[in-house]
Amino acid sequence: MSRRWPKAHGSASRRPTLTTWVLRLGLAIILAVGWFLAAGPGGVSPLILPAFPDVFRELGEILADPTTWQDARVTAIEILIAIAISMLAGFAIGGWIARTPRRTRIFEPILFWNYVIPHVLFYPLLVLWVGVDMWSKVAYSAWIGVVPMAIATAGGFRAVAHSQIRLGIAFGASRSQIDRQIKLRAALPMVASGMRITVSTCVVTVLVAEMLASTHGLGFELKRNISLYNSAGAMALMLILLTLVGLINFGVSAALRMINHGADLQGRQL
Amino acid sequence: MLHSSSSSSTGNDIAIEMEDVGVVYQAAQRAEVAAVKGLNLTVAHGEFVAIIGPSGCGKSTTLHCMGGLQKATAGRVLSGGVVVEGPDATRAAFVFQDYTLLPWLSIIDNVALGLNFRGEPKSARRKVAQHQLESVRLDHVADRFPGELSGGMQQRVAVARALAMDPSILLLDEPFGALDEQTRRTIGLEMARVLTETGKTVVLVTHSIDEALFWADRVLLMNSDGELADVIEVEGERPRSLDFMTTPEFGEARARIFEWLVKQHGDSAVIADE
Repeated sequence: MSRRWPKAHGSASRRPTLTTWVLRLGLAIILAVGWFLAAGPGGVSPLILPAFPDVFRELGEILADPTTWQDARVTAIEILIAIAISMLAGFAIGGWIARTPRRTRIFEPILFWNYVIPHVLFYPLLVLWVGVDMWSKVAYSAWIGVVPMAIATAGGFRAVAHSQIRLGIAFGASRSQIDRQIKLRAALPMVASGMRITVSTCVVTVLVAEMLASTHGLGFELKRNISLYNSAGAMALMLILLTLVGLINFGVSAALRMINHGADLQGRQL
Repeated sequence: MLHSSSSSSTGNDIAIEMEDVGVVYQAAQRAEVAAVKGLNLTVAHGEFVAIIGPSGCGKSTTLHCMGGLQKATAGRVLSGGVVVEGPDATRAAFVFQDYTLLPWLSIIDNVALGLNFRGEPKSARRKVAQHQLESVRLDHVADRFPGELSGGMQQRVAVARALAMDPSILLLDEPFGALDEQTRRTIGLEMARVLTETGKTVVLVTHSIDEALFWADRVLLMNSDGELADVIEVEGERPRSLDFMTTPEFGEARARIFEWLVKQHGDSAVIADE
């Protein structure tokens, strides 16, 4: 089957122009200048907003420290494992729920109810059950991350047009062909949205869990610097975390860009 | 109970036979709705039959029964002497009103869809699909996607998709219902030519009186009770030219159908294409 995607015209496929990059750079410069002025003489307290040179000095020291790279590796592994578990389990659960209207009626409200639970209250229990190492973070993050994936998957499969399923039946598709070649393809845009939310959720929850109870990881280091009132060190770690998160999102966005071409095409009419 | 059969049909010539077919749906509050009642009709090989009637009279249900998409709750449907148990696109292929082209597939892969489900090798199915696109004069858009085509072009692709299965019967469910009048007439001429050239048995469900009379050998009128109410034989060889629509026979048949439809709807008649 042809998988070629013509150049779509939705926002997901539009490459940034030179003007866009110039404007983004301009915004970054304005923020940097604002930071420089605010942290200067007569400005904000260095405890709240440390000066540029202090932050970059701390950043250099942190990057030169081998334990930083070990912590970054631990955090990255926790996030990636949590994402993988959330996506696979969420997809399986959502697909199972969407199979029949009865299952949807019974289980979908439970999934939505999961959103309003303050999951952080259960984290100490997870630490008791699993320990304070990386698996409690993975379990915590995956438990929360599976929900948006399951909801998006169930919604995506439920929204598949009956006319498309009827088409498959009329043209002799088997049940498995209808599932793979029609339902899954039609549900992909919503499933892709669920993936994006799941990635963000897993990143945030892993970092929160590391800050709550951990002995390793960038979240743990961030909390340690904050508790020592080392604002410059904390800010430097935030820059490292933003870079890590940016890299993860870049990888996910690249994968989703291809999937979202289908969503763009579905919306276009002459 | 009216029975309609082709004037030329014999046992061996029959493509579709419906024997006392009824379809009852379960509605809300456990109520039953009889969509089709006591339908008896035959369609001969190579015949073009149109079914017309008010909205909700069971036209599409009848068509779906012929194609095996809908199981009859009473009576039976036979095709080539064999009871129809389910859909089989090599026997009877559908063209739906909403085209239903899969937006993530290219045009040529949409046309080859049924062949793909059947497990045909890629090169073979693309060759067949290319040929069918040429027959509807859309070979130049083979590598484009449905969202880039107009409604009329999409419907022609849907016809090509049905023809790619090489079925003996084509079932068209208001194929041009979603198009504007001008496009409908333009494409109608072309499709009438294409479908006549194939020599296949065609059953067309339509709201348009002109379409039914222009295309078909026989027009079946279904009433709002889901019964076959009347049959009109249409003289004139196919494919017909636009001149056919100015003949007295066309005018009389049109007036007869229009009068019948008005009686079906009462004074507040809403008739398509007037």
